[in-house]
Amino acid sequence: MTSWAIPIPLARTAGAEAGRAAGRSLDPMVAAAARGDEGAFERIYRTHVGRIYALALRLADNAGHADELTQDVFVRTWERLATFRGDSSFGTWLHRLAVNVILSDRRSAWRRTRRITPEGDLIDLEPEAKPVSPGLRLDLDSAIAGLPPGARTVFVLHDVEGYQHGEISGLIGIAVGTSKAQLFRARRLLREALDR
Amino acid sequence: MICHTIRDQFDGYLAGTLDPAGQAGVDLHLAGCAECRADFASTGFLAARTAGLRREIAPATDLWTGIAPRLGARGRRLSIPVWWLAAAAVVLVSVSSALTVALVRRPRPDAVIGFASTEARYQHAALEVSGLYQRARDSLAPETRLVLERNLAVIERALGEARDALKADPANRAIEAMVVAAYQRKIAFLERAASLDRES
Repeated sequence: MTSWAIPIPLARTAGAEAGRAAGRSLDPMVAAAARGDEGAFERIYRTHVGRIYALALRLADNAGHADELTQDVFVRTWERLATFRGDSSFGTWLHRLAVNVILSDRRSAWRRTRRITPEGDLIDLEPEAKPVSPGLRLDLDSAIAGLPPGARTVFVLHDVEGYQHGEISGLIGIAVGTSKAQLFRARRLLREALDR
Repeated sequence: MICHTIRDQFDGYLAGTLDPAGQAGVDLHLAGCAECRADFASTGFLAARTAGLRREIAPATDLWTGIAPRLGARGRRLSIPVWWLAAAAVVLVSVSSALTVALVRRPRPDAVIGFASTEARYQHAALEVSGLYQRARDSLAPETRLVLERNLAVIERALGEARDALKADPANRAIEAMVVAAYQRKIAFLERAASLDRES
């Protein structure tokens, strides 16, 4: 017998319904967006864009790339909204999703530029820190932007966003020891840049 | 103590969460290790500054204008209801069957054009819409493609069987009608499949 059914990915509200079944209630705006209400989703965007953009800007190479990443994060959020069950706050869930989207983009970029070694964790092959003009006093955000990508990612995730090395290891796909080494490298570079 | 175990404790030391023995261990190590002293100084130097970073930064332009169009495109693709497709398939089969019956019952104008040329027209049309589908298929979701192509294979098999039957009995008008109906099903299905891309 022929099957004419086209499989549809998870229904938009499946996660919300699972959340309700577990006794959790969703923010009405999130629930409306999960049902496909674009107006509600725009309000979610307006509420959270500053937080997500700050993350993207610190992890991206430039503001234009941060714009793209932020847009990608919200498009992915829209696609995945139905899977939000309310186990954590929506802001936490969104932030975690944003980190995943941004790091996934970074991994793709790294795969295009990095040589692969058995250890998989490269520090020395990364681009060097961007030079800073002598005499130019930097604020911390500018100094972070000047870090090499690997050190910058670990610094932002650990020191700015509060992730632990074990989590960073899983997110980036590096060893915990490498994450720690990158963090201290970042801190040294930042201090040097800011001390000038 | 090894340097890296000491460095792991810097954050706790600065936050005041290390126990006295831990603090004393860090102090002792720092007194004799210049490299760790430098790292400790960097950690302390940055701690307050990092805490003062802005948690929210507004983008220079309104990014929503680049998000909204992408929502529509992906949202609709997810919402093709199965019942709608099933209903469309039933309507399609019913209409093509009715047309077939009408064609079979209609007195033939003594076949100036033979069935071979009729079939050639259908083949040409099928080829055209197949091209449309091939162009659209890359933008369809893989699972959608899979089902579409599985269903298309069923239609192709039915068409092949009807054509084989006609070869065995070329004068049989009922079988000719079956072949025509199979072509119509194939063409309509491909048209619908190609249009899924525009809806997604």
